[in-house]
Amino acid sequence: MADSARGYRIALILSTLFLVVAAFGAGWVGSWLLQRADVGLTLPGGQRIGAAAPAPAAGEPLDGEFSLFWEAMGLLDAHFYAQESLPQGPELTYAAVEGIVQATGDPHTSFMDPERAEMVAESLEGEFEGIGAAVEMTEQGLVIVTPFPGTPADQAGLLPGDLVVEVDGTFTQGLDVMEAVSMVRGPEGTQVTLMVRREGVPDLLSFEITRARVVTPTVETQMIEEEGMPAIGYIRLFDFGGHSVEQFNAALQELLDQGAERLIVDLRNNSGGYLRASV
Amino acid sequence: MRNFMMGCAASVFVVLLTTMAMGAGFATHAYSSGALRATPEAATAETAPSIAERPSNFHVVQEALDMLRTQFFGELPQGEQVEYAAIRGVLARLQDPNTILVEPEAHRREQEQFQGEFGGIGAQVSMDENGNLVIVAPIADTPAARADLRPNDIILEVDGTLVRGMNINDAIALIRGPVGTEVTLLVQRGEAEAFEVTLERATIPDPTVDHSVIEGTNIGYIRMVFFSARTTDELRAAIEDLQAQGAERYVLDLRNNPGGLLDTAIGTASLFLHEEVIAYQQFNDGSRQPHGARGAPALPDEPLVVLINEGSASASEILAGALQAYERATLVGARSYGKGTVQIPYRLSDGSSLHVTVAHWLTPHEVDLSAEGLTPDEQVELTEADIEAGVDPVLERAIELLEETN
Repeated sequence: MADSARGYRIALILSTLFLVVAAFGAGWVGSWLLQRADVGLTLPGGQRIGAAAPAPAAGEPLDGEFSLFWEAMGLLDAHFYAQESLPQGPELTYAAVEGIVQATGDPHTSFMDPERAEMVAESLEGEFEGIGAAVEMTEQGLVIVTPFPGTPADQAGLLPGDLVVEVDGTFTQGLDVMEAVSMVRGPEGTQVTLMVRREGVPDLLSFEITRARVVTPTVETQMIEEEGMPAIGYIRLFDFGGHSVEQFNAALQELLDQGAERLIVDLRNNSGGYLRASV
Repeated sequence: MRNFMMGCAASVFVVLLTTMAMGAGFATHAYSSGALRATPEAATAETAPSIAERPSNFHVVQEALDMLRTQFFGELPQGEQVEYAAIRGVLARLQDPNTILVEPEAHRREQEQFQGEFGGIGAQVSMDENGNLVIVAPIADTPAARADLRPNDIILEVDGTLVRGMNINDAIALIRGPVGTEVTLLVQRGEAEAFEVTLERATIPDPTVDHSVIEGTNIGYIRMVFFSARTTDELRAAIEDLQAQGAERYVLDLRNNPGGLLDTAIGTASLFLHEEVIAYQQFNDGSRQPHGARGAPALPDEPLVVLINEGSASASEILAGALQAYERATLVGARSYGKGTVQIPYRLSDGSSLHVTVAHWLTPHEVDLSAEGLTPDEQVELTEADIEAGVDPVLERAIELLEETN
C-alpha cells in the first residue's frame, strides 16, 4: 500500500519535473537545428511549448521605414555584375529577415523559410512520415545512426552505421542534413529507394522502403536490480518531442509496475530538441 | 643589408593618417561616379521579376521584426540598423565579398583614404609602451607645426577625452575631423605642467608613395601602399626626384598594396607605358571597355622590376598585370591576390555607401585574374625567418636582376 502511494508521489514529482525540464529544454531546440542542420528557428525559444505567443503588435508599414533598403535593392538591380545571383520574390524577403535575425547576434535566434520550418515542426511533434531512423550527415554522406524499432527502416533491415550513398538516385554526399532528410521523408505509403554501403559488404545494397507514419522514440528504460538494494528504475530521455510526455509516462508506469523503488532520470546529452535528424 | 625601406613602415603611424586596416581584396573603386558607367539605363527595362520589386510576402519582414520586438531577449538593432541588417542579409546571398554596405562613419574614413588626404593637424603620432599618445614629429606647414607641437609631446586629452591607453586608431579618429573645425589638445611636455592648445584642422595629405635610391647603386626604389586620388602625382614626383638623384633603374614595390582607385591604376600605369590598353572592363552584358594609357610616360624604357605578393590586389594587379603583359617589367615575388572585380561606391541617402561589383577587369591579353592572380616571372619567397632577420630576398633578387641589365 505504502509502496503504491509512494510510487504515485514519485510519478507526480517526476511528471512535474518533466514539464519544467521540457519547458526549459524547448528553449534549446533551435541550437541543435542550427548546428546540425544549418537551419534555425524563427521563434523565440519558449514560444513553441509555452502559452500561445502574443499577437505581434501592428507595426509601422515597412514601405516608409524601408526606403533605404529599397534604395539599395534598386542599385543592385541596376548595377550589380552577376544579376543572376540576386535573390528575388520570396527569397528576397527571406534574405532580409535572415539579415535582421543575424543582427541580433544571438546564435539561437534564427530564421527558417516555410519549407524548413515545416520539416522542423514535424520533428518537434515527434511524428512524421518517413522510414523511421535517426540519421546524421558525415563527410561520406548520410549515415543511419539507428533504425527505430518496428518502423519500415527496422523491418527492411537497415543497420546502425549504414551509409546511405544515394536516395532515389541522388547522392547524399555534400548535401546538408535537412536536404537529405527531406529526400528520405515523404508521404505515408510512397516508396523510397536507398543505395547503402555497409561495412564488410562489397556491393552496394539496395533497399526499397515504403514510408509510414513514424513516432520518434525519445525514452529508454532499464531496471537496475542488485541484491540487498532497492530496485532502481532508470529512464533515459534523449529528446523533448511532441510525444515525449506520453512516452515518459508509459515508461515510468512500466518501471513502477516492475517494482522500481528508486528512479534515475538521465538527461545527459539531451539537447532539448532532437538530438538527431530522423528520416 | 638593403632593408631600410622595409623599416620605414614600422610602428610609426604616419601623420595621424594611419589608414584603416584593410584586407587584401580591398575594392578597386571606380571612384567618381562618372569614371565609368555600367549603363544602368540598359538594366532598368527588364521583364523578369527584379530584386527592386517588393515581393508579395514582404510583410513577413514586418512580422519577424514585430515578433523580435515583442519577444526577443536582448538588444535589437535600432533605427537604420534594421535596414542595414536587412540589406546585409541580401548581400550575403550574392556570394560576392566585395559588394558591401559601408556605414556613414566608415564611409567618411574610406573617402579620406581614397582622396589621399584628410582633415587633421599634421603630426605623426605613436602609442608608446605606457599607453601614451606621443607626437613623433609634426609635419612642416601644418597646424601642428604652427602650434609648435614638438617630438615627444604627450597628448593627454583630446577635446576633454582622456586618450591614454586608447586604441591608436580611436585616438586618431578623435583628433581628425572636418577641415576648418577646431580641436583642443591637453599636452604634457617633459616635467612641466600640462597645457592646452587649440588647433584648426586643415587638409593633410596622406602620402601613399615613398622612395629612395638604394645605397651604392643607381637603382630607384619606389613603394606604393595604396592607389588614392593623389597617388599618380606622388609617383610622378617620386620618379622625378629619383631621376634627379641619378637613378636609372627602378624597383616598384606593390607588395601588400590592397588596391584603391581604378583610375589611379590606369594613371600610374601610364607613367610606364605608351598608349596601349592597360585593362579592359567587362560588364555583365558582355561588353568590354578598354582603358588606354594617357599622356607621355615618365619612364618608358628604363629597366623595371615590380615586386608583388599575395597581398597585392586589385589596382596593384591591374598595374602589375599591364606591365607584365607588355613585358615592360619583370615581376618578382609571390602570386598576387587575384581580385578581378571593380566596385562603384554608391552613396545612399543616409550617408552610407553601397559598394557594388559592376564589372570584372581583364589584363591587356583579356585574362580575368579573379581567383588566379598574377604569376610572377620569378618566384621568390619571403620567409618568417627572413622577416625576423630583417632581410628581404625579394628585393635582393630584384636588385640582382637590375644589376644584370645595362
